[in-house]
Amino acid sequence: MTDPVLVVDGLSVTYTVGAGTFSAVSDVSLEIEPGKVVGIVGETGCGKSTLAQAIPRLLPEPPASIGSGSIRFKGTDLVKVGRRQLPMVRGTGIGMIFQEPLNSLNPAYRVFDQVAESIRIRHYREMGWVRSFHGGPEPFDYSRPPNTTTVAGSLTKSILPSGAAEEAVRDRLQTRSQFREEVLSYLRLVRINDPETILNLYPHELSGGMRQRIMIAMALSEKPALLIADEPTSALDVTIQAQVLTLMKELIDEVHASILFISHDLGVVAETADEIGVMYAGRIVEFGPVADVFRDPRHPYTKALLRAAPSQYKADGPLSSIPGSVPNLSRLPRGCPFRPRCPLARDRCATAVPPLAPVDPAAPADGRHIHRTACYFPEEVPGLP
Amino acid sequence: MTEPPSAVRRARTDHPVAVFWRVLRANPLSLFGFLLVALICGVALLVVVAPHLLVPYGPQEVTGARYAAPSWAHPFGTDGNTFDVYSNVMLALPTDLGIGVSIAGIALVVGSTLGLLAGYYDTPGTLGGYASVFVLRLTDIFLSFPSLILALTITRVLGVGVVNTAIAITITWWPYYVRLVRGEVLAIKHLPYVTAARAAGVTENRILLRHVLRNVTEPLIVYFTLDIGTVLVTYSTIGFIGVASKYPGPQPEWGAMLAFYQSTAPITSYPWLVFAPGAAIFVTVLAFSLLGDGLRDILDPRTRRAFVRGATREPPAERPAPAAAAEVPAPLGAPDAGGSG
Amino acid sequence: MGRDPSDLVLFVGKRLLQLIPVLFGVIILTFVCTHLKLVGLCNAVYPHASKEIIDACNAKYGAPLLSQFVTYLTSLFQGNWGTSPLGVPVYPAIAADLPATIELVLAALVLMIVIGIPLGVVAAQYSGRWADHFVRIFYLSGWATPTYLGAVIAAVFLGPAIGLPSGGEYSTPVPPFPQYTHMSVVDALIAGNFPYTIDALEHLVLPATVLAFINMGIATRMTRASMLEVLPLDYVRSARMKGLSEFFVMYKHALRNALITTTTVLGVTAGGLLAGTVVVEEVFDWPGIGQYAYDAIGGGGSTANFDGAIAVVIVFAIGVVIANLIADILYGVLDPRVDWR
Repeated sequence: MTDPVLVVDGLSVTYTVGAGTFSAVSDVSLEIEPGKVVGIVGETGCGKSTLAQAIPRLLPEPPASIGSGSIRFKGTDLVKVGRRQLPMVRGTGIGMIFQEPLNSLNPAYRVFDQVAESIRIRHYREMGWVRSFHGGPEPFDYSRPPNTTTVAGSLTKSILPSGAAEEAVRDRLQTRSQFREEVLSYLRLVRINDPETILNLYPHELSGGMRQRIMIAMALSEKPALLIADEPTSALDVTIQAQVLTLMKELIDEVHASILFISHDLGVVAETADEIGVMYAGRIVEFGPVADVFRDPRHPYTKALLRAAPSQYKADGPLSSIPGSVPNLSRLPRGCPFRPRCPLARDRCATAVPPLAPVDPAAPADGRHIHRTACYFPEEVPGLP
Repeated sequence: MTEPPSAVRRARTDHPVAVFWRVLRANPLSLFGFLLVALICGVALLVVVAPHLLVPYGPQEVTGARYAAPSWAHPFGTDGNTFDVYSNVMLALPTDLGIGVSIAGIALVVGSTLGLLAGYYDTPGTLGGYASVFVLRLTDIFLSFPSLILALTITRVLGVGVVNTAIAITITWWPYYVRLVRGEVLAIKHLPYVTAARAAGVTENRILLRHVLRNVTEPLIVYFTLDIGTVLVTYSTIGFIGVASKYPGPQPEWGAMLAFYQSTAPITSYPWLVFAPGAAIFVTVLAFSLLGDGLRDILDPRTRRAFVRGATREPPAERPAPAAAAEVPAPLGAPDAGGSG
Repeated sequence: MGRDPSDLVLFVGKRLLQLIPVLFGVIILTFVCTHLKLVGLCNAVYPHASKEIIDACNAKYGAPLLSQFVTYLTSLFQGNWGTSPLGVPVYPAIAADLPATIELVLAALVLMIVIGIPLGVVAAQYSGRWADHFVRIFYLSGWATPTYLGAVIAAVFLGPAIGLPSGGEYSTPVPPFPQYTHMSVVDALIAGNFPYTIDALEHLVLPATVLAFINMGIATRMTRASMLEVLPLDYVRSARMKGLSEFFVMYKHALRNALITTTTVLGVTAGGLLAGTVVVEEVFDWPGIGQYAYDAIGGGGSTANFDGAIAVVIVFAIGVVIANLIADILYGVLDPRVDWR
């Protein structure tokens, strides 16, 4: 079995605001295998975006801080990585597509400069021009076959005098036009029709959908080992959303990257992800292969979400809504966080937070890729009509 | 869990004094500035009301000790004329402070009135429109001068003296307020709540006074606080150049003192002659700057956000709120807002 | 779509045209401010002057204002800017002194940019922490230091202490090479005289540092404020996520946008820098128009030179207008959202 790209284990993120603290993410564990897509769904304010940004340590610290747990990316615990080494993890290691494309591009630079910057970062790292992250053995270079190149590279370096090694490096430095061609190729990859014109424009001259395509191109151009897509379409117009989603789906098939796909849209996740985690109040309340979770939800919250989703995944009939509202994270109820809104709630639910346990009692309790739910009474969750 | 919902608490603490205190508490430097300003004003008042408590000698009283080093009898030493430097520094405090406050105050009143009118009644083609264009052009031209140079020249034309210097500075000072207030008014007057108030039948004058003026107040307070220091520096510079007031004389002034000692006394041997008036003006201006700068940091929407992060108790899921009191207008339904007109 | 570089000419040209009414206004305003009260005051203004000078003065300032203005305007454009009471023509004197002042101001501006802007970045980066407080105290100290105090301390105490000269442009009164530009460093460079270049730089350091320190506050403050505004924005996060080091995130992505607002205030600081030269040049014996202005205004009790003072006011105002023009153009160049047409 291949090693997972990312192992998040017992991750908690707390915010300190004034005198109070609250957990935006509590005890979240998940694993992403190479080439697999893991989807995270949940209502607004459930901690999805905090989780997404906590993984590459992008949250401003303070006010945010990682309370406990580990984020093992290719064997290195990112929680323990120093602030100065974090940039080496980002980009070529973990790429990210953000929620708001409108402001995600720097208004002062042309599209070309911004995409080129990403490509250059990757080139420099591939050539070893910049200090690479010394956490583990070559952790981020998924495009390079393990060992062989490294051996060959060290051979070259030991045999050739240093001047020649530099010469070899310079060979990889492309000429200006080749470089431009590489930038263009990434714009074509995200289906931009007229990349030559787009290159010379400033972000304010582009539409929202176009900007998001360029953000995607930038993220992909670094060939990240892991791509985090944090609601990449939710800020766009509905028609544009559909286009960008189609693009995302096509790209997911094309690039074979490991992806953490965050969305509040169940339908999107169902179509793209291999596994799905449902988040509520900072916790993963249900996790499992997409087919299992969607066909046979074992948490009342997942159930309610599916019922409320206006899509083909539920039977006809009136749209239902979940009674109550998303709880304030600084004033969570004792026990199961979903208890106040849950139709199945009873005394036991108020005792302690239910652990994420396998639905099938026969399955091993520590299984990571099996259907699990954080409910004391999974068997009582009614099936979908 | 026992805390009341924050929104309620916030609404209660919107009283100006509460806002002011919250602002000060959030920033230790501006709190220090505030205390220093209070102290300086208190001392200045005391010098005016009961000079014998703080000022042992008259401005030109012969003490008998020439170039005496600082001691208990003469905290800042004495000068070549055997005058007590400490007494002169103290006597200059009310003068300099009074000049700073009054010039900035006159400029504030004149400039913000013009700015308010020019910003609010600027419909092209009306009398107000023409007047506001005229005021703005005049402001632009005034702002092209380094005010110190213009004030110096005007002082020279009017004749050396404290009052003439004050007049000269005032002539060059008001345009800053016009620009500040007009900018704020333009930013406010097309906001939805002003339009809504107008639609609700509130008269223009009342909108101007109740809504627009109220929102201009906070940036004005900040600017005014900082400005007192700037005026003081400008005035004492004119004093240093020797056009504002004569030293030694019955009415000492820090800039003139410094200029006098710098040009007549061997100050490398008697540095306190320069440091005493210099430190006096430095501390006074620094106090106002610390206060004003801290106030601005919290009241200015530009930098407010960064401080809000540290100063609030609200989780970030809610909109950053406390200092936003400046931004959030009075609710339309407030009993005093919709009632008239 | 996009901006055509050829439109930049149009953009600059438009700004230059807008300059004309402002400059005309500057001249009118200077005239009005300085001539209103002059009528019949020649005796008071030139107390020790000879009968001829007072007669000449009365003849000049006794005429109706409008005819005076016409005379004044025509002679202004003919390069006849009047004479000092001793009969020295104003225009050649100012023309000879201007380069030294430009050199001093530019040196101070460079120091402000090189030191003040990174300080603002650091303060924003560590906002609310000790580095921020330190930077704040630093620039507020500059703000609170009157130019004369800083200049006297630097020239009398600091300069000798650290071995830097604090008077004149060179160590010898006349350098052994022709002075083409009248800028000390530039002339020494043109002559290829390396020791004199070092000498000139040493003489430039202290006055330029004083000027920069006193005016740095605005640049630092503005950089800090606009950085705080920019840092929470999404594109800074994207830059970080690209894998750029914090240095590039700060200086390439965030500062590049924050600078757009900072340039506008750099234009404003020109006024402070120019006004500061009056005192700094006098204290450091720097042969520029600041020193000329000091003498013309009657600084230190010398006889006033009205024509000279008025000319200096206009020259300084033109300097501020040009600085603002440059800032405006820079703003248009730096912000791609500004349309050049």
